[in-house]
Amino acid sequence: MDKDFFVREIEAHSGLLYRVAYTILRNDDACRDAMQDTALKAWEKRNTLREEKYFRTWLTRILINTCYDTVKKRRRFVSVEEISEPEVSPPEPWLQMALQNLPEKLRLPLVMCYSEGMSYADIAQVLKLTEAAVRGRIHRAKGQLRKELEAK
Amino acid sequence: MKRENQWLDLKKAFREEPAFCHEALMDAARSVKEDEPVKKFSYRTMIIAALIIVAMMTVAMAAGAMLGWKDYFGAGYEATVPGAGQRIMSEEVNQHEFTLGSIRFTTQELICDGHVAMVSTRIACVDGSKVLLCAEPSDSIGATGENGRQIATRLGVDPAVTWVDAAKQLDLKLYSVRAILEPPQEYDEGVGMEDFMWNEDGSLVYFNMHFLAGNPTGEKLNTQLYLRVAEIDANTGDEKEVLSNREELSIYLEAPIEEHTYINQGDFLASGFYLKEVKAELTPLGLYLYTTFTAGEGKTADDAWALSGIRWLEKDEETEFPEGICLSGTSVNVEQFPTVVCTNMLSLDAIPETMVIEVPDTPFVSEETINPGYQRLIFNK
Repeated sequence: MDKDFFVREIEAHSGLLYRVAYTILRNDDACRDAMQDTALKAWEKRNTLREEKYFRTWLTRILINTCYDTVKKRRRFVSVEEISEPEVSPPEPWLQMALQNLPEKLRLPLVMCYSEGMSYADIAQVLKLTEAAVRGRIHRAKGQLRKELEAK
Repeated sequence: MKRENQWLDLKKAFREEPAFCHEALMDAARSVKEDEPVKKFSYRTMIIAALIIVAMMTVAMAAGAMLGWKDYFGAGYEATVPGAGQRIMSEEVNQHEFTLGSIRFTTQELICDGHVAMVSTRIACVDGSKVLLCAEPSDSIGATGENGRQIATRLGVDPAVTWVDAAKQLDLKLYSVRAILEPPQEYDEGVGMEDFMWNEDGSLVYFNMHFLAGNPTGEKLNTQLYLRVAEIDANTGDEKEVLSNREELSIYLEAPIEEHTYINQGDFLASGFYLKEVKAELTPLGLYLYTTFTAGEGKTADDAWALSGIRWLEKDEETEFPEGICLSGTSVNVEQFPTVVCTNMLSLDAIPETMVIEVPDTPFVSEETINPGYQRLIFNK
């Protein structure tokens, strides 16, 4: 993988990186840290990418691992006062609130599917689950999302 | 396959990527150098008080205890192996030892109920030398969760450090290992799971569950245990030497403990599919439920995926039965369409007297709503 390809692909996937990171971290400052670390780690591990066509899946997996590391670091150092509210609301704030109320193991595959358009096979590979487990979690997530939206 | 609910666009739940996030990301991407390795962060070595180590180890694992499937499921899943299965898998006859180079593989738990075959294999250095064992050298030690973080603590490194960096930091040999079952081709569904945890003594426990097809019969299932060990160069992260082998392994096929079929006498229609019957099969590993539907007029095989949201509830119609160890949710088989068979597994050691099935029912879904309903049916044994 050369640097030009790497930079191009990182740029192309920056939206995905932000949305998946925000799904886990729910804080823009933490997302910035995780996205930055992910880019550096991905370059460091570039030899582990078997084929360039798998870049998105490979990068998403590195991001998710990095997000969990970021969660641990920030738990030690971030106080409640430091967590800022985003300045700009999403297009559908009620959908965001309902989504954030889902447990993470349901929220994450749902976002990967219905925000990022990833296939069940890709999601299974990233999250180290079977494809059937991904289908089950996504369907459960939709059911719970429905209940959250009904309650609002 | 047509994806249901394509209009559920969750991008609308997120605001635009903030400019400062994008700039930080692209600054990092543009800063990398092709000829030099990326400048590494200096990871602060954690200073651990003896009291913290003792407290954590006491909470986490009994001193000297070897981890098994019970610990694996207990670390974050509601699934459990029923007592009968736990007893069978731990029997001495299931313990086999193999050696590849300087690494020993010992199967601790082994069981097959005709639907899944599962094994836990303890992996350690033959002569007891202190080495690092992992599955993915480029993963951070803490990536697997609490168990990984405990190992990082015991090693005295930051959980964010990769196995390769830890090997360099601690000047220890690093091996990447794997131990998975390979059933005969006629029974191999090609689907399974692999995962791992570390014991207190640094040995690695490799968990593998393989889903079977074709209903194997007979006294034993003749499989192979694929073993692999690769020594990793701590400077480059590359594999220096790779050894692998396939060992013959026969696993007793455990017969079902109890079977029961519920026939639906009335008309139960949900999402355009008629529920005909439910077959319940109890094995030492849990309860398998096979729900047979017939497609209604105008329904296609793609429409059958709406049934993947099936839930099984207790008679209070609120409490969901615990998920089975295959962790697969509902699988939908349309090979014999218009007959559709949905399979669930529950972590139960007896067939309940009363079970309630909840099936998603979406008579109409508009662009503005994500409001599927459901239908429920009560089964009494």
